[in-house]
Formats: sequence, C-alpha cells, structure tokens
Amino acid sequence: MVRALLVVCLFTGCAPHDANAQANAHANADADAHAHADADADAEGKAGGTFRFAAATADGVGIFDAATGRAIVRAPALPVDDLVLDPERGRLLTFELDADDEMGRVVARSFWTAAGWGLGAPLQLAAVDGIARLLPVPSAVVAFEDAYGPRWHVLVDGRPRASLPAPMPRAVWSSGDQVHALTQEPDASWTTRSARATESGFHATTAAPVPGLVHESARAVALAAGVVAIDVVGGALVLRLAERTTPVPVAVAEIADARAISPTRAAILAGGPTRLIVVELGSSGSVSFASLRLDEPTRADPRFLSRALVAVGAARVLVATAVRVHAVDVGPELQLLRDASFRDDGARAPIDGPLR
Amino acid sequence: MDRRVLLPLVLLLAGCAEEGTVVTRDALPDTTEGVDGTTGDATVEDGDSAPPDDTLAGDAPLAETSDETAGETTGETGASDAPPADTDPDAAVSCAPTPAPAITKTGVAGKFLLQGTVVTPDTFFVGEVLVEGDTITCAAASCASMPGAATATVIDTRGIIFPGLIDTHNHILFDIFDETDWAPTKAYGNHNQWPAEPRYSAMVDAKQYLNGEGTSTWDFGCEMEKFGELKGIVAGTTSIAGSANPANRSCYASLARTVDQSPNDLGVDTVQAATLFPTKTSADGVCANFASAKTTAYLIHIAEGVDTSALGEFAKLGTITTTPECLYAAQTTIVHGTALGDPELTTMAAKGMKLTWSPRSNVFLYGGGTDLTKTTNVPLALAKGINVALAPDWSMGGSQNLLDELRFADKVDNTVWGNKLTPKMLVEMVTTRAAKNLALDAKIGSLAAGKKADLMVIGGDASAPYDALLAATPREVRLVMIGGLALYGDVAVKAIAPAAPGCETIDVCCASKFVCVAETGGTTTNKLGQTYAQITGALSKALTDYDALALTAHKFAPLTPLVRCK
Repeated sequence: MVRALLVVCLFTGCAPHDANAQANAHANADADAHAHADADADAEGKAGGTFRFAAATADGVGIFDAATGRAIVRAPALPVDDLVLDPERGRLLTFELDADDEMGRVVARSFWTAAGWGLGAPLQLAAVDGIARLLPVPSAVVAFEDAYGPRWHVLVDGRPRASLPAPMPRAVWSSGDQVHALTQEPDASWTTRSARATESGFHATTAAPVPGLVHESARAVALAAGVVAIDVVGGALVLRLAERTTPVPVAVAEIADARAISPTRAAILAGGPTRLIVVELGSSGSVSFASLRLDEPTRADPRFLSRALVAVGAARVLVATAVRVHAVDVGPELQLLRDASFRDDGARAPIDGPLR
Repeated sequence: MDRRVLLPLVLLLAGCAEEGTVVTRDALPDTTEGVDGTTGDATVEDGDSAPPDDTLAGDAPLAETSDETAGETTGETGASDAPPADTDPDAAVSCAPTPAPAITKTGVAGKFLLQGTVVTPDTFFVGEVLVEGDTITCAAASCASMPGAATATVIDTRGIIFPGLIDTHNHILFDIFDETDWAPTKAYGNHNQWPAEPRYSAMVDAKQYLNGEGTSTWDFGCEMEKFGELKGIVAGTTSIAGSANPANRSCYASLARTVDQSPNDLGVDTVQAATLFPTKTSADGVCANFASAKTTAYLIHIAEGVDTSALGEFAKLGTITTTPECLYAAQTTIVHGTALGDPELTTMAAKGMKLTWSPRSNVFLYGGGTDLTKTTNVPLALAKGINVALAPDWSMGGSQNLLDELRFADKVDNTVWGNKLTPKMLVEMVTTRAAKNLALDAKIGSLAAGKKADLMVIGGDASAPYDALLAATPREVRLVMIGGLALYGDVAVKAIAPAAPGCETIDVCCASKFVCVAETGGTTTNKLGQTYAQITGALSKALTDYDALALTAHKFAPLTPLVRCK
C-alpha cells in the first residue's frame, strides 16, 4: 500500500464546523429518517445491515437493499439524470429528462407507504428548461440549473424567488440550510461558494477562490480536517488542501464523483479506466489510499455534480457505474474487496443513500 | 356593413402623420391595433372588441374583392379610441401607399393561383404558383394547364413571390424581450460569461416564471411561443426552429411551422435542437438517433464566442461520444461556430456538417454591438463547401426577424468581407440552404411542385428580387401563406384568409394588415382560439404582474413591439 504525506489545512471560507457536515448529515439522516420496522429479512446480517439506497434503473428508479443489491421496489420514470433522497420529507427527488435531453422536470416520490417501502405516485415539483442538479435543504429544494445560463434556484411551491447567478456545482455539501459548493467560473478559475437557502431565497452568499485546481472534473469533499479538493494533473490524481497538493499515484483521466465515507476517509470514483479510490487522511497529515479497478464506464459529466457513490458506514461503499452498482467493502487497513454476492438487480448511476 | 373604418389616429400614433391610408375592416372580429402589443383599447368603430373566449364567436363572412383600397389615401378622422401603435421612438417609415395585391377571381376554397414574379429561389421569372390544399402543385411561367388552375382563386400579387423564409435558430420564448430588457455590459469572449450578468439572470427568471418553469403556476408559454411565431410571420417566416420547452405542446401547432417540435404539420419531427453542450449520455443518444434516422437534423450550439474556450467545444464535440466523432456527421448543424477557424471548418466540410450563422447576435454579445468582425467566418465556410443558413437567434440584440438579419448579414459582408455574399446567396441562406440544414429540403424552402405551400409575397423591384427581399420590412410583406393558409398580408387580399373563426386587422408601420391567429377548435387548454389581441394582452399583463412581484430591481414590461418600423 502506498502512503503519501498530506499537510492538512482548510480552504478559505470553509469553516471547520462545516467539515463534518456531509458525514454528519448522512449519519443523522440514517438515524432519524425512518423508525419503521424493516420487514425485509434479506437485508439482515450482511455488511450493509438494513440499509437501502435509491438508484436509477434502465427505465425508472428503484429502492434497493444495500446488503444484497436486491430491488425492493421499482417505479417507471423518464430518463433519470439526477437523484437524491430527502429523508426529512420521506421522499426521493429526481431530475428526469425529456426525450431530447433539453428539458427536464423535478419529480418527488414518497419512498415509504402504508405498506412499507414503496415509491409513491410521481409529483412534479418543477420544470427546468435545461439541466438541473438537486439538493434538499430543510425548508426547500435547491435546484442548480443550467438553463440559458447557470443559476441556483430555491424551489418553493408556486412562489417566485429570484435566482442566484452562479455556476453549476461540481461538488456540494450542506449543513442545515447552509449550502456549500465547489464551482468553476467562466474564466476557468475555481471557487467555493456558500449561501443560506431558505424559503425566501438565498442569503449571505459568499465566494472564495480556490487556487491551483486544474481539471474540469475536479471535485471536493468535506472531511474532519477540512475540505479536500480532488484534482487531476498530468493524468494522475491529486489531493489539494489550500495551496498544498499531494499526488496520489493512481492514473486517472477524470473524476466522476467523490464522497466522504467517514470523517477521515473519502471515496473517489475516477474514469479512464474506471477506478474506485479510497483515501484516508491520518492524524499526522499522512494520506493512505487504495484503488480497485472496475470494468464499466462511469456515468458522469465533468461539468455537473454527479452521484455515483454511497457510503454505507465507513466500511462499505456502493459504486454506481453507467450500467450497474457494485458493493465494495473497505477494511481497517483500506483493503478494498468487491462483494461478489451483491446482486446486479438493475441499479445504476445516479444513486443516493443510505436509508434504513 | 360599412367595411371601411378610417383610422388616421393610428397613423398619427405611429409617427406617420403626414400621410394616411385606408384600413379595411371586413372580417370578424375586427380588432385593430398597433403592432406594439399594447391592448386593452383596441376597439374600433362600434365598440367591438375581441371576445374574451378562446374561440371567436360567429362565422366570419368571406370578404369581397378588396382591390378598392389600393392606392387610396385619406386624412379623415376615425375612431378616437384607437390603440397606441408602434412605440419604437426611432420609428421613421414612409407611409406612402404601396401597390396592393388584388383578388381577380374568386374560386373554390383551398385553391389559389398566385401571379407575379416567382423566385424559386434558384431563379426567378414572371409566372404563377398554384396552391392546392397545403401543397404547391405548380410553379411555372404558366400553370394554366394544371387542372386545379381553372377553379382556383386568382391573386395578382403585383409583387414578388418567394418561398417562405426558414428560421433555423431562434430561442422563441425569449422573443417577448429585446435589447431594452437586457444588453451585455461589455464584449464577451464566450457564451459562458454573459449569463452571469444580474439583469440577464433576472430576465431568464422572468421568462421561466411566465413559462411555468420552476414551481411557477403561471402558464403563458403558448402566448410566448405564438408571439414569437408572429414576429416571424409578419416578416415572411413560415418555419421556425425555436427550441421551445416544454416540447411538443399542442398550441405550437398554430401559426408558423415549429419545425423542431412534433406539431409541425409535417407528419414527423426529426429535427433535434440543443442549446446546451451535450452530456455523454445525451450525445450517445443523438448518435443512436442518427443511426435509426429518428434524428435527421441535429442543431447544436458550438463554438459560440471568440476565445479558445469557445473554440475548444468543437474538439470536445468529437470526443464526448463513446464512438468518437459520431457527431461529426452530415446531420449535424453547428449553430454559431463563431470561433471556428480553418482546421475546424475543413473538418466540417469533410464530414458534410452544416452551419447556422447569426451575425447580429454575435456582434451584440462578442463585438460590443459594433465590431462586425466578431462573427463566423462565413466566406471561408462557403469556400470549403459548407452549407450555411442564416438565422436571428433571438430578439435581444439579435434581429427582430429574418428580414432584419438579412440586412445585417449584408452589412457585415459589405463592411468586413468586401461584398463576397451576393443577395441571392443570402436569400438562399434563409430558404433552400436553411431547409437543407433541417433536412427538410424535400418539403420546404423552395417554390416547386410537391413542396408545402409556404410562401411570402413582397413588393419591390421585381427585376432585382433578391435585393428587394434584402430591402423588405414587414410593411412590404403583402402575403404570407403557410400550408396553403393565408395568415398575414395586405387587407386587400384578406378575403383569401381563413373565414372562421376570423382574422384581425393590425397596423404595421403605416400599412394595414390582416393577421389570422385564432383557429377553430380552440380550448382553454390548447389556446388555439386565442386572438392576437388576447395573446398580446395576456403577455402585457403578465409582464406587468411579474414586475409587480419586485423580485429584483429589474423590470421587463412593456411587451416588446411585434415590429420595429425603423
């Protein structure tokens, strides 16, 4: 296993109290979202416990068992371009494209019915004349749109709100109603933007430059040590913290997605060839990593936020490619082991989770 | 019924006080209004106004031959409640009467024989065009031998008959705005830069909210679409690729052909327009559509701008797909291509790719409004054998219509390139060459037997018809026929327009024109029964109401004029 040293510090404008936001948000969601009894015996006893995840399928969306990969419920949908769970409201949000991929709609489906896990009738929340990525916040849904220019919208039923002109995020993380994003500006420079998203719109917006990022597919994750930017330089993976960079000797062409899987670990899905890379930041500033080659192409566009990774605790990662989902167990020493028993039941990117 | 109403007040309001003209009012309902889209007091003579329903009540009587109005002038006072006309403060237009077309024989419904100078547009000659149903059955020096000619209504156009113009690049829902609503604050390098301007963003918010996007419960999308179509029709445009969304709404079936939507009256929609650089998934889907012939024309914005970022999009288009360069194909039309140089144009020519040129928009966004060099290298593209179409993009800094765009293109050519583009070449860019970009040249774009009966008639020097089109404005457009239906033109030939549910009379730069907007079968859902007055009234109110929400400091009322007379 290759290890490399990393000097830990924070990007300007990324306050330390936000650093655990993503991981904490997941943990909180996992703990609070559903107290319903789980009738799915298949899910018990596996590494994923009783967790579920949501994913696109060839012709719709579904809820799947995170331990076995088995589909629990499916529903038809238009081509799903983005998908995110909104645990506080018990719903699955999707951005679905029309036939020509030039227009889409934000759709909500309840994922819990009187009979248990299910997918309720689709409810169109919004129409978008372009591309959108979604993020639920406590009081609304944020839609990052590229529709005759990029803007951020707060979607509140029937009520107009001025949008925020800002680039489409490459990575987002939130804490309460605070939304943070890594964006690339029209002049190709990089910025971290923060704003408070409420029913009345965006407030207290800030933007801080992120120097040094190079590749258009760059992503970022919030770890305990700070926000780590993930870049590609010269065909290799590079982690950046402020002005300090740490090369990770894995050949990659682009970053498809990156997610925090614990306060110190991040999973990275890279393309060209497709690889899952897990990095761990040690308390001394060291970086450990491991990678696992996957056979299928990723489903990602470097210009847009993508959702291809789900952390099921710190020891299991679900990895969605363009055609299927893999389960990879992460050992204490970062050993990556693909769960061969994990069923290919039609799930594919985008994915989100976990739920239980 | 007195068929004449004198409306010199309209003319006065239009800045045309020195001369008047007769406005004929002969079909129901007869709302006469100015072309600025203002409504609310559009009643003439007897207090009639457009009915509030989506469908117009009653049958409209077929008017008699209206040649009587030709050449007449008057200065008498007419209705006192005439609407404000074109509000363009720079309007300066001659109000001298122009020769009007005439109906010389009334025939059976659905058959028309148009006489005049016929521009096919490969050539021109004095002759006839026979329309039967929605199809041209003859375009020749004489169509007398055609069986249908004997029973056709004969129109002496006293003008020049062109194929209907084809707009291959428009963002039609934005045509309710113009550069008074937004203009860039500086010259930009590429299309990713100017959308960050706050006023532009606020304008897009307004467009979205009126169109029912986001969580809006408003829905003026049909009105926005039809207003954009009308902007084209009054300038002789019969087909528009307008990139309207949501796609394929039933209301798009009215007025101009929405050639990138399924309600295009062509039986099938194989035109796919893209305003965004495609994702890999989307691009692979287009390649699959090429293979299956589901898509025969792919209109994609590429290389819009003048910097390396814009230029880089062309190479990316070749690598975005799983099968490299599958979008470098004859079905693909590069929209803009402003940044393209010799290597890229060479590739395009080798692959049979096509180009749509929007010079006024280019100069507006990337040349500070004045640097005419900041546009696509069209002479080089043509020299390499690339098929080039011309289109206005949208109303903001782009031209109000294709006639404006033709003139601007001619100006760029004369100023920058030394007059390399002849008027005939420019006309081909909005007719035959435009049809080729859409892969619809078998159906539209020329006057020939078997083609759809989409045509326009203008006045002007018939011995130089291509120059005449470059000089024409909506005032000189005497007749526009789409699918064999006369939808716009001089009131002198209003009698050939659809009798039911009726047409309206509007003032266009001192010329009285009929426009047929409402259709039978209208419902509150499909809105096909809406009149011009209802459409502009709804949009005007919607913009005012939107401004009243005060989401930002930027205001977008009033509705942009249908026509600018300058």
